[in-house]
Amino acid sequence: MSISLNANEVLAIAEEVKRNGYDFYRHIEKYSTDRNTKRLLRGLALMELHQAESYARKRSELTEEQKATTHFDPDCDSWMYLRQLADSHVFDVSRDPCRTISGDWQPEEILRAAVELEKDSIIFFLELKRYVLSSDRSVKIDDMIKEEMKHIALLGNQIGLLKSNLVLSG
Amino acid sequence: MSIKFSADEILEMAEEMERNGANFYRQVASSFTDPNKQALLNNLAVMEDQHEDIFKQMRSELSASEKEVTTFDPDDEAAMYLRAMADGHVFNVREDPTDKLTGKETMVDIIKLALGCEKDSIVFYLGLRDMVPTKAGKDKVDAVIREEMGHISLLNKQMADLT
Repeated sequence: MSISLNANEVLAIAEEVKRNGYDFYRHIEKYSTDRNTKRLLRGLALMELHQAESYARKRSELTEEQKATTHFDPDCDSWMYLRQLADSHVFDVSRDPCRTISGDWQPEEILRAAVELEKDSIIFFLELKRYVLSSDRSVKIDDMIKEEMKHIALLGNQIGLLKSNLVLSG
Repeated sequence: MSIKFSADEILEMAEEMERNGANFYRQVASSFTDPNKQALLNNLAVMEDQHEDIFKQMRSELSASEKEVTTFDPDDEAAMYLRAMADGHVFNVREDPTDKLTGKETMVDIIKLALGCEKDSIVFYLGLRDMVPTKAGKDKVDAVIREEMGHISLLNKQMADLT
């Protein structure tokens, strides 16, 4: 399948990924018994929401020319393909980690489930990068990837703190 | 608390990841009799060998000052990202994936394990890329990341054919 995406399409997909991310973090936050972990997950949910809103705003600022489809795709096959990819591989709240997360999970396990999904979102954005029109400089996928890396750093940092607290209390 | 690491330490970890990856693909290739599966897995092993050589070469080209431990601001996000990985808080960089093998894995099991390793490599190299001082070095890391993405596509296609 030959796909190339314009700024409007990329931002719409990124917004959807972020909204899924918001749902995911709100969902897993409920299961965390550790106060600091809960606070971090709530913070990450808000970051996801702010990013979704920022992509929606950028989309609304695009010109009609930037929004125009640049390739022949009458049935929106490429759009559907990427949307499915976003829905099924990134922050899918119906996927296993969420289904299986319960009150029995330790905070570290919940954080690790979040790390796995952040990794998936990085891979998704790297994949998306391949489809962006090289002439379109209005979308910066590298910045989107940097946001996900920041989330991983925060999650990793919290895992480290939990481990050191465990050592201190043990 | 400040964050400390050296380019030498991070590149050495990248070498180890590639070496472990190549060993993993070779070991699982030898467990199949199907020549197509063997060829696929052995080809992946050869590519990981080449990546190891790239990181080895980058490491050998580091100047004495670049090899020294650098102290970063605790709020430096790129440093925090890499430190979290190097410390094993995100995944165990030094883990040998062959340790997870029981010898009873199906091709689907192996692809799942391989996909996990490829993803881990990519997220690690994205952090490594930020730390590499030269444009030429960053381009080399980008090329490795693109190839690892290619491995993920290849493994996903195999998975789709099998399931």
